[in-house]
Amino acid sequence: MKNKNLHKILADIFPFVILASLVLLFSILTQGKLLALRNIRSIFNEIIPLAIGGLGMIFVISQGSTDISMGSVLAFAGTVTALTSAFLPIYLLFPVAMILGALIGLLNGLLVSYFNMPSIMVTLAVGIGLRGFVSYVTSQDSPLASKELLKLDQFSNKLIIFIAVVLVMGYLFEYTKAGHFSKAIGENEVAGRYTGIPVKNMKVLAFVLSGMIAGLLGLMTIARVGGVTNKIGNMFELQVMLAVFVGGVPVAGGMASKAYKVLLGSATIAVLNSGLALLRVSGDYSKGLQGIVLILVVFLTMYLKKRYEISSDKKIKEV
Amino acid sequence: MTADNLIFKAEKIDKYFGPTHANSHIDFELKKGEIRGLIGENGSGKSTFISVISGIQQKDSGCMYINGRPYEPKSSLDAIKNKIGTVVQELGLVEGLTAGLNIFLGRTSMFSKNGILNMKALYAEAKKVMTKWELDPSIELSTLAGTLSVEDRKVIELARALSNDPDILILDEITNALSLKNRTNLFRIINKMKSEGKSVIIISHDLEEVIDVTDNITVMRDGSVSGNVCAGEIQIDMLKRMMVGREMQGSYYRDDDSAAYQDEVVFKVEKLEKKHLLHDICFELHKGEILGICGLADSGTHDLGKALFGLIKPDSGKCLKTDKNTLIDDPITAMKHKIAYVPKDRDREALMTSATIRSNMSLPSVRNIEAFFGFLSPRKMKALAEKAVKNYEVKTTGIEQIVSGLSGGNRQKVNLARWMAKDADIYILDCPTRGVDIGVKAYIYDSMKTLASQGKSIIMVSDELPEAIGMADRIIVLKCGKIEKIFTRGSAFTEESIIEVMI
Repeated sequence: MKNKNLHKILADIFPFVILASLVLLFSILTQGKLLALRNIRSIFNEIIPLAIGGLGMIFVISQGSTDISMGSVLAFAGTVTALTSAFLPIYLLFPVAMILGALIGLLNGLLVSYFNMPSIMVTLAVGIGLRGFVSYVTSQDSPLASKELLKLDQFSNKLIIFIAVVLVMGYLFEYTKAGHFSKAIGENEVAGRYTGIPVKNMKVLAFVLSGMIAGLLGLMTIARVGGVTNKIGNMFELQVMLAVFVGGVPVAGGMASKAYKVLLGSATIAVLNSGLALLRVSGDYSKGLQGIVLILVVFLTMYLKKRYEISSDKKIKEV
Repeated sequence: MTADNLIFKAEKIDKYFGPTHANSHIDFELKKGEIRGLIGENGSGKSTFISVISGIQQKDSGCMYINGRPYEPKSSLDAIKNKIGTVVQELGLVEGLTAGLNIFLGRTSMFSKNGILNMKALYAEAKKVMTKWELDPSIELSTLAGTLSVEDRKVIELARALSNDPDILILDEITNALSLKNRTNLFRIINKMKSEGKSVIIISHDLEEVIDVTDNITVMRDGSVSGNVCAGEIQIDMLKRMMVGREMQGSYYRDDDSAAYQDEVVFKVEKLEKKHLLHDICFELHKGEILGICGLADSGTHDLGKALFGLIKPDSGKCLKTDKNTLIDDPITAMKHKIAYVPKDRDREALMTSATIRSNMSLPSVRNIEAFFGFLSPRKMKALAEKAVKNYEVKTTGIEQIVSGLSGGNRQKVNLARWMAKDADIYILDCPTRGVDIGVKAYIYDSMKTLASQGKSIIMVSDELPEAIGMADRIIVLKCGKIEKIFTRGSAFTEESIIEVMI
């Protein structure tokens, strides 16, 4: 009995422990520079897009699907908003970017749910198509963000958007039936259908949300970069997924998917990157080290989870 | 009888599936050249015993001998090596492979050289098998098995069983998939085998056929052999009695022997039609009624249960909840109008096995908990789960326990309790006591009685006739997706009379 609780607690607090030990380790190695005010801001600058992206994708992931198109949707929405930013006021750019993203998400969702196509294939294909569009536009011209749009990259503005996304998505995911149903679909889709969950619609909704957030991120990204390049948002979805999984969200989705885990995972990745940068580890080494650390984290998470399951199984036999 | 002319012998075979004792101390002897019938109700353990012989399942204890030598099959290939050919009840072909390949499934290495399969030789050999046993030559061996008709698939399975020149041929419910022509052909094959001194075991629900074709008949009941008889000396009635003749364990069923329900109709099914599954289904459900739905395997009982809850969309016809004349065509509407559905396969269709009891309990009630802005109060969900666990006496360490850690019976309690917590008018229960022990069974029957007495209506799909007879006011007997007859609780409410209609 004690054993089981111990393992469960360990599995739950493990991501916190990782984050805390990374913070501690890098604080010592960088002699406190990690937690200097200026650096905290730069860590947040990295957390914000990862966490927003993760919260956008959490519905999809909790249902056991993936959205590989997020980076391309981001680039697509960014390109279109950059093209229109010259003659549209900024408050209209938000709906433009988010509705564009949502429409792509709708396409993804319809293909996945009503045509029963695997989400990884659908979103991969849609992503490649969108990337083609972005490449074409940037080969003709490099659209720039308007001056007004650049202001969006101010830290205070980003923080406001971040907090808004956390509150809205966190609420939807943790405290409404949309979130509850999504997690249930990840656990057992058939059981979901048999207990009155509109499975198809929930899947569409998840991809629409993911696309909408990707659109928002597109706007924020061009504000930061100042314009559109071909590389914008490249591999972004993979970084987001990594953050989500490192935070403790199961790869197969289900009830253990939690919004706070997205924040935790994003912070872990951001601290790791920042620490390595402060130590002036060169780019190549840094990537290699990142890879090793992440594999370790994932391994330990899985190991603990397994231990927890085994010990609870044993206990059951005793009962 | 000397040991010499025995081809196969089984001693004290036991097989458990979880708590279910599927085969209990089975002794079985088969002579050379003997044709043996194996009969019994659904769930009496026939198919289990066959799968033990053919290596598909491994026995838990007991011994088997072939020609006096110990026989311990680890897989169905071992059985083939020992010259046992089996046609199983469920369609056993790999749909994505051709018919010819399916005949030599698992044994294709005899046609391969340096890892390359000589398909030409394989098809030639397959053709030879088909010709030798005079099987339907019109079946194209290069077509994918998945595109063949059900009957042709059975013929291919038969060819597979015969391809190794078996000494023992086992046929599990094959004849009802065959047309008269193929059936006659099959009997010719059986007689040919007999004349060559080879043996056949036939499982069938068609008792007349069994008596006609076989030499001896083994009757199974509740996992054990209830008798061996000579086919020439037995009447159908006697066989039936041997099949069903158990004493009713009266205590936990209903004790009245007449139907007790109100006149008010709460649910109406009109001319429900679904291609290949259901045909012209019409009936009414009354307030306070327990309505049983019974039939042989594949008679459509479970599909009907699903269709009533809107999980299977009918091609035509409709299900109506009569209080407001609402058309029930999907599960969400059904739930909104106070209909509950407990599926048969609880782990696949009902429960989230790796989630907590709390999540599972609250799942069907999510919409009832919803407040302003779609707010789902975690406190309310917890309270609901705790109440349901308490009301239904689920044995657990707490609502945060993972469901996969519960016993089958307790899982079923979770499965039922979460619908009971919803205050429905109509409960559709598909095999509510499947795989649970006697104690939980009694508990479930009790709660069904309570519901009925509160004026709720229950539709109980059941694979166990005694249970349906014990609990139902009326029993609908389905056969090939059609209503064959509706029995009302009373003098005709016996297993014999109902089985007669079922078969």
